[in-house]
Amino acid sequence: MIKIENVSVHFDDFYILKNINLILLEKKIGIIGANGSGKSTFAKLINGLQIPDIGSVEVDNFNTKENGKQIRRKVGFVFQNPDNQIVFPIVEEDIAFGLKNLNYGKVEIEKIVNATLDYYDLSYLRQHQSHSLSGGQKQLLAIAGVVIMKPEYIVFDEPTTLLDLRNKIKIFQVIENLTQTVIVITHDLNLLENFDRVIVFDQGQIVADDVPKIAINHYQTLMYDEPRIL
Amino acid sequence: MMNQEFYNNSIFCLISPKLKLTTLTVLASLSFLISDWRFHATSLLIVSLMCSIAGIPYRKLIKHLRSTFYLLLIIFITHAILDNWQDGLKIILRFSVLIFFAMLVNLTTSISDMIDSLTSLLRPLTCIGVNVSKVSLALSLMIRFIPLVISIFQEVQIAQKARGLENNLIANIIPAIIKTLKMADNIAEAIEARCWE
Repeated sequence: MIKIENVSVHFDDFYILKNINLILLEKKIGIIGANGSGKSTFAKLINGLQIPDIGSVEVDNFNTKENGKQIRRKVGFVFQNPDNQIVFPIVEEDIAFGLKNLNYGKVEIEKIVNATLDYYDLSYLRQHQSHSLSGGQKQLLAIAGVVIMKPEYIVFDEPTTLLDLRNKIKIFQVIENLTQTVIVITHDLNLLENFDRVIVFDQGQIVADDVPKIAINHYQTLMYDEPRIL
Repeated sequence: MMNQEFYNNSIFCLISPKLKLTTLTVLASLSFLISDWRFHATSLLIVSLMCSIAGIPYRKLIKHLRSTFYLLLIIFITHAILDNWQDGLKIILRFSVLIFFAMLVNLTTSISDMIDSLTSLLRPLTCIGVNVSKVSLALSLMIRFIPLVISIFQEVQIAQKARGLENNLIANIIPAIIKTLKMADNIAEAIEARCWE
């Protein structure tokens, strides 16, 4: 369970997030909102990359302010641009990075990496240079690198923004098949149809929190009624 | 150290990377301690033979040597003018041996093995406060992000060219540096998110 209580994040007088209260229990949660609405900051709150200025965030009773290490083991994070997430120059080495950080043994790492590469159809790329992969392959590699660490929750910060339609669908299929609780920030509204819950952010606040159809309708009405560039 | 190709069928892949790196260090030290040209010529012959056994084509060796050609030429000319041409030749032989052997090590060792070995060789330095795992991560990041930084510079160059600013150094460098620094911030976050302590 993720519990967000009276959370605010501000920069001087400007509030990026203002008084957010949420309890997240569902398996598939979508977060939508305009650019600059606070979605990414909200995502970073969940795995402790951003600490709230006011209030608290708890994941399974671990407070993100005090238990950074435990939180990051529990909550994986997939960034929008896989180029910023892939650390190692060779595909299989990058997948192994997280396991090394969790102090797995060499034999065990090799076994898990092989299984993961097979599962994501990346085996034929194992010795490839990560910078030479396509956008879709890079995002798949980034996801594999997070999933391999067996987090209980995974936060995706716009994982399909840089991808073409085919790769978007592929990545979303991968996300839908995950057994973990997933929190996905996205602008691809149609990909959230089968989610359990969708939360809409606007100007740092939650303006809708419902099943996908109702929340998406609310968001679309909001965008059409108040068009502005942020 | 960026091995674009990896000769994984070579028998040199079976040799421990630590041994290869230690041999490279010893060879480099000996090359500078021994000044006899016959030693350098014999070393060059042996190393070339090893490269050939490893399956590295000669044109590849020459190509790599060609990239340092002008530097070697300047050294040779300087020695020929200020001292004698024989010493200049010795230096060229010395550098050729080291370049060939470094290539052999590079092309027959995977990057992760190389980093693991460097980490293990540097481990004694922990007693003087060196954080070896940080050094090894820095090496990996350097190898990983060189192509990315190059592509950032190329992207900015193309964008500025489209605006008619291709010759404006500031217009090219400033956005590229800002983009690179922003990327560095994101990477630091990503590393933290992947449980790096």
